Amino acid sequence: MSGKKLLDHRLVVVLGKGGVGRTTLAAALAVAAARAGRRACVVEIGEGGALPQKLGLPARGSSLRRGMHGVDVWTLTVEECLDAFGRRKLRLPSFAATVLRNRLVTTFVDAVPGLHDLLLLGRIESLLSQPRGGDPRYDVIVLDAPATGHGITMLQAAETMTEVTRTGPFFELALAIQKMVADRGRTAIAIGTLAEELPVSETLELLGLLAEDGFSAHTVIANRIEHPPVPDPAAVPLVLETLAKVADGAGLAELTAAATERAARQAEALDMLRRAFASATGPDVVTAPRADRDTLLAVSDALAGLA
Amino acid sequence: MTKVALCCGVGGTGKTTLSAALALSFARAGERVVVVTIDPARRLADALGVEALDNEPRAVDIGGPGTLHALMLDRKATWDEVVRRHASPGTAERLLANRYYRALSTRLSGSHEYMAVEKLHDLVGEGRWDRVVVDTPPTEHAIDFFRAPERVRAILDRSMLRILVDPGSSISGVAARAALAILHRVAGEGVMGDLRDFFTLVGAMSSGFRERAAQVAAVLGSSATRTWLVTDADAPDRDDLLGFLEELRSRRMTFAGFFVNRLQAVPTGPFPAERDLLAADPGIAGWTEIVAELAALPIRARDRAAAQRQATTAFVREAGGAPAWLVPELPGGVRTIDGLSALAAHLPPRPAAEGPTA
Repeated sequence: MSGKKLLDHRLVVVLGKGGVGRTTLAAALAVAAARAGRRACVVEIGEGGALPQKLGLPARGSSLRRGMHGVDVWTLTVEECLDAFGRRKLRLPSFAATVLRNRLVTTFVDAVPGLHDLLLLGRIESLLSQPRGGDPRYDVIVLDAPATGHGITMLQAAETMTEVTRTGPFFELALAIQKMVADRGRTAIAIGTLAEELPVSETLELLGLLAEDGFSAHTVIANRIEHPPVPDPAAVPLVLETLAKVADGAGLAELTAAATERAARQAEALDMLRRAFASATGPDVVTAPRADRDTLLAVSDALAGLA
Repeated sequence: MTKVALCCGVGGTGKTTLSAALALSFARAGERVVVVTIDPARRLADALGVEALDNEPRAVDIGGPGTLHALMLDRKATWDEVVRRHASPGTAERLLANRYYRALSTRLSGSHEYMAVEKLHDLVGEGRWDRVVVDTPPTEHAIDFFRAPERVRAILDRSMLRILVDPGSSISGVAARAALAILHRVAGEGVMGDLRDFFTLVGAMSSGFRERAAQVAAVLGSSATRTWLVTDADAPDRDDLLGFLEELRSRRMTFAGFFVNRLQAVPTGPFPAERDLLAADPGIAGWTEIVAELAALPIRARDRAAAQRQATTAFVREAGGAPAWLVPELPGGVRTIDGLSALAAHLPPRPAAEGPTA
């Protein structure tokens, strides 16, 4: 992907299946942006996720908190977003807030497909486009999208809504969201994956699904990359031979062989990914290391080039 | 009586593969087993040796003594089956064509979980299985599997939404009236119109839904249903575990234990001293750096294995000493039925590994 860097976009949506370290990547992207001098915010959907802890905060707390490295952590809930929508778009009076928590309303919100996601994206859109007194303003918002269905249903929410209705405030909200997520100058999609055969083929599938809806990914981040213990593959047999001759070397030879094989499998999977994006229009592929400690900083260092 | 095995857990723990391995394990022990998979990777179908998985059970060749069938949950097809079963033919056709229904059946959050439970209920009712193994949809939190179906049922329950779409009906309470007025303003007539049509049609079926919901709850709460939590050995989530156990308790469901996936072996030494390695330089460029890398390997492997075991021990303690089946990481993943067998060797009906503290 040519042109703007990933973190030069106002909104970066991080997609990816569960287990690829998506939340770590989202947090590390926000940290990389903050370390490059940007006002950065990372958004999690729903309470009780792992994001706040990654930025040195308790798991639960107020919806907006300042985490490590000056990154703001925003925990969005559907209730809060509906409330904000009512106040902002409909200029509902203050009593409406309690009404919006009425069980009738929450069931209704559950019942309209795509509405949850739309309200959440609507809140993000309002943070980006209409700064007003009280609301902090950011250069970039990183969204840790839900894992379910790769998070793609979230991007499809606007389209889902326009299938359900063609009039009314929700329809107008859907149009605004559609405009935001389709604007490649403002919104970029990053996909987190692992350098293994299965996650890579799932990432390629996800890119296909995105393309069907007119989206494209800006960057694919392959996470938890391990480097081979012996840099030159041609030297491995000689190293193993040497270990066999050293006292107590057998166990280490085994570990060396296994680590070499793991790194080789990862390299192969990365190759598969890069080959698929050989054309100039494909996403960039970057890697983030597997780190035993200080994971967030190690990953954010690896992603510094995106800011 | 058909037994039920639920494999719960957050996304990314390898739940789908372990569900298939668990089903294989019971089938190899002589049972007639069907496994409901959710969005399996193409490779799992390959490993099972079936051409493709769809909404009907497909036989997997395991060479006996039991049998194994596998299916992949098709959310839309399952919704349509439910509608056809509960509605008169005329109503069913109109419902299937309703715009709101189409969006609901494919995109409503929670409908995947709801349909998994519906499918489970169907399979239990068929009477031809000794055991149904269910791989639950990937969720942010393990408890979503139990909560989501109830949210969907609340939507289908006419007492709730008919009030919303029919302003003429009697509403008690100022708050509800105010809520309704605001909803009409927020949603606009388009949404309300489609919802009104939808709930008029669903109204005729909803006693069927309620009855079925009660039956499904009975299946899940039955002593024949056992629930396992699949966790990733590297990234166990304590808050999620506690929420999950609490949810099971409140439903009087049995927690059968953990499948701790991708456990690393503890490296067994002894390992060579660094100076012996340095002295053994075979003339490779950068040998000093290579030795530093090599010497770090056992330490890293030990640290990781120790952290995994520590986390597992803490989990077992939190769950009041629940059994844990420890499943090692297979290098390169599962590609064949033999790969699944290798995992199955660590799963029930074999007894749980000894407590990880032992």
